[in-house]
Amino acid sequence: MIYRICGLSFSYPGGPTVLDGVSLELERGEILSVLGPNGAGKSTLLGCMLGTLPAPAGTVWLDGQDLSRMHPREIARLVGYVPQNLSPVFGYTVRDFVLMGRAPLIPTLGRPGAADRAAAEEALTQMGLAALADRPCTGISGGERQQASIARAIVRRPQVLLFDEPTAHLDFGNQLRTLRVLKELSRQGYTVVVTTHNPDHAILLGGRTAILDRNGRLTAGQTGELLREDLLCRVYQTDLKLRYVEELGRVVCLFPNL
Amino acid sequence: MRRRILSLLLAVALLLPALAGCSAPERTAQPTATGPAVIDGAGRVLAVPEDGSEERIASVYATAVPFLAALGITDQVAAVNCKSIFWTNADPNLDAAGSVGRGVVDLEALAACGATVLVHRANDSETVEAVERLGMDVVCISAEDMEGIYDTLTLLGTYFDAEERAEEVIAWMNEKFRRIDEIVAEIPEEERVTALVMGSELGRVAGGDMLQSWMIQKAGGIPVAAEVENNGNWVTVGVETIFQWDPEFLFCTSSAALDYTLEDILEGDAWDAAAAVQEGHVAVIPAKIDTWDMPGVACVLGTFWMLRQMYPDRFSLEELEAEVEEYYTFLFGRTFAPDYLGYTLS
Amino acid sequence: MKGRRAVPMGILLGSLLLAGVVLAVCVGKYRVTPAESLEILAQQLLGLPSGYPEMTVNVVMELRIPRILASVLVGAALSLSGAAYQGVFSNPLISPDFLGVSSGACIGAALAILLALPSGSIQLFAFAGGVAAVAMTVALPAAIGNRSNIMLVLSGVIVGSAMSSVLGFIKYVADPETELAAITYWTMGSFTYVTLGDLLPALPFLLPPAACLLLLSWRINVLSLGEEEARALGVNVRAVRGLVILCATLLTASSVCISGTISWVGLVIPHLGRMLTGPDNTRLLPVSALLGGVFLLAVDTLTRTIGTSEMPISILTGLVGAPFYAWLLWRQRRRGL
Repeated sequence: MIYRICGLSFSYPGGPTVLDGVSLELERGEILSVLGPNGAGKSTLLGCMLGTLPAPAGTVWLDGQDLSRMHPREIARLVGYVPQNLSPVFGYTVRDFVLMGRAPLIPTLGRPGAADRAAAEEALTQMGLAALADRPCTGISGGERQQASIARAIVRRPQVLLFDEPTAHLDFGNQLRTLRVLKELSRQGYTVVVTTHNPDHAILLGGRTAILDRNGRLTAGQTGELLREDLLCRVYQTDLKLRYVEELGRVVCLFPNL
Repeated sequence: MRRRILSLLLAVALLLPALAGCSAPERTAQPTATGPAVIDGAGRVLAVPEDGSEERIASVYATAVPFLAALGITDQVAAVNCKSIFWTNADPNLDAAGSVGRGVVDLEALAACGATVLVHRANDSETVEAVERLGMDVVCISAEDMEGIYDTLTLLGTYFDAEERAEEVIAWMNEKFRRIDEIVAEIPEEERVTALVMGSELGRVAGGDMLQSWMIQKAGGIPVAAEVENNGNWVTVGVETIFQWDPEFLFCTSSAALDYTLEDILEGDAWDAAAAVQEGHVAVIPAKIDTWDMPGVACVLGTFWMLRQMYPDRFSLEELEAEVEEYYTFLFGRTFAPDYLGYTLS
Repeated sequence: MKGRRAVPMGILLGSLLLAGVVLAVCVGKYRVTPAESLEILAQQLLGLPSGYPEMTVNVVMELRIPRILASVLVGAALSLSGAAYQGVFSNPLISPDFLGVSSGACIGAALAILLALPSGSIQLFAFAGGVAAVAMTVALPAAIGNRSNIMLVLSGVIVGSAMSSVLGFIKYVADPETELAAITYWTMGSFTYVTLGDLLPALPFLLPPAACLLLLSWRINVLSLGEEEARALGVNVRAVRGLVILCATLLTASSVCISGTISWVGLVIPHLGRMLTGPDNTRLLPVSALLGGVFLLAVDTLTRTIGTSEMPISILTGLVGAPFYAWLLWRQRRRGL
């Protein structure tokens, strides 16, 4: 077991409770989709799993250690994070950008060495970015930047990859390409956690799904068993239809008529 | 391409100064000072040079100019900062002199101007230290009040070998003030009037520790701002305080540019009730390009002018005109037209 | 790739700086030929007797050399700290003035002038003022309970405004004829009165922080991605950022101690450096330092050679800096930086 979350609660000062007694266990190599409407604590949950948000109640265990007692460097060696909506200020080359993913392996006063550069080249190649390596990361498309961000997360070979809304802000084609990359990374043995507000993406990824409702309560289960029309309708407070499409050989989540 | 342009720009920026090199006059040999010593306006002990008339003077301190002119040593001036064109027009030596800055010394220009000594204000130790590092002498002067004016004349006279002239000027001033004292002594206490000198802004006045208040008192007036002091500097008390004092005479300085006009006071509704405005006793101290209320011999004239303003029955227009003529003749050997200096006495 | 690009740029700028220093020793209002200047310099450095007049030697050794060294050091320090601040705050539009360091140091200096303290304590007060200002700027967001970048920048604006008011008050109570001129000249910045005696004591406050920033330069890259990402990449954001801010603040305050406030350098030079080397701080920091030294040396040499009386250097840096900055913004809008 790589992650064990026990009784995690979180609320922003003066705001509503976004996580309420959340408990979750995550096995190595699993793929988990975290579903929920806008404003449910999906990003907050990732923040608590990364240690960037200190949880006032509850404990997060990472690889058997209490996360709140771990140095950011130790956490980062185990967990790669792909943030949502990346808008870099400085135009580092894609190569330099990916190389920064090696930071947890490099001493504070140090600089990347040959091994780091080799790992960066490998990650660039793996994400199909070799041709873009010398372009500034401010001058590439949103989809390419997403790829670069994933390359930056895997360049240090962590055990877990956390994706915060990886398909938001992407066009249809890039959404599909990203989901395929996630599936592929899962196949390579990474433990993958993905937040999304699209139930269809959870269905496509398979594995397990956790649903966060607006009250900060979390329900988890095998994706195929957990996702039922009544639950989705309640969580999203709208009509949604789950239909099996024979041509695709899978269940599809559909809007009703307007 | 862009990089090449930038490199070019940087190269040009570095080369420009090379083209801007200035020529410097021939250096004179530096005399070694031995013999008697004087104490300057900053309390520093200075060795008096063997031959003070050989010294070449530089200054950026406009207050020094009237003293150098009064002592007749402007032929020794290498660089100077004059307050107005009056000085450069009146004295060809000042006109011919160069400049090493206005208020602040340009050290390398000072080194290049051929001067051997800097005449500077007393409270700028930073400049004094820097100039001394250059190996140049500095004489500091402090002429904030009457005592300072006499001390400055004596100090510069001694240092630059013009002692006799300094004594002559001081004697002349004493003689003039004695005449003023005689006139004032005959004015009975109950006829004495109150007066105030206002500075560059409305509500900014000369306090009791300033030369202007001393001049009011000397001319037989009662300085209403006598209680206010600000280290010999103008002090902003506000217009309301002036109304509270309500002086019978309001004089505006000519030592600084005014950011108001006489019309602002005489025609402004706010000033209607002021005693000086009701009586029409508001005037700018002469003169536009030569200042009669500045430290220097000219304060004699300013005092005579105040006397005439406050007590016209005791001191006639003809007498004042005669004093003005005598002053300019004594210092410059000639007179200047009132229109040129920028004043009217009637 | 990296190494091959960085070395020629460093060598180029280093040689430019060296050439600039040699040129600057040779020019000025006092007429000394370049050959004489260099001969005097060599004689003095080797301790040989000099046949030149005392004044000529003094002009070269007491006026030109100290201010040349000072302008290079201050230009380098301001640019280095500017680049570091822009990095840690992920904001290329900010400058060393942002944390209120410059105005804080100015207040310290103005206070010392007002109290008529000897010139040595002016430096000390300036330094204390700079440190106090940055402490306030950093403490304010912590007190409010919001540690975001924007909050820190806002706090810098708040502290900066408060500082200008305090400075305005000090100017208001200062002797308008004498102290005011000195305070104004200090806030305008100048290398006129710099002596080697001022410069040497400042070195321990300039060189170690500069070295520290250069060592941290790659980590500044990671910090510049933003707080959340840097943290996710295993950086102890508060500690490293605090260290960078401390070093950059030391550099800025020491610069103010040497020369007074000189605007624009810390803002414009890092941009110029980024255009030459790209945003990678491992290359940007050294290049900015060299570039800043060259720039301020050139500007100061101009101020002391053109015109009849010396111009405050900030007038020239502003004249160069403001249009350049406007051009930068225009260019940034057109092609992204």
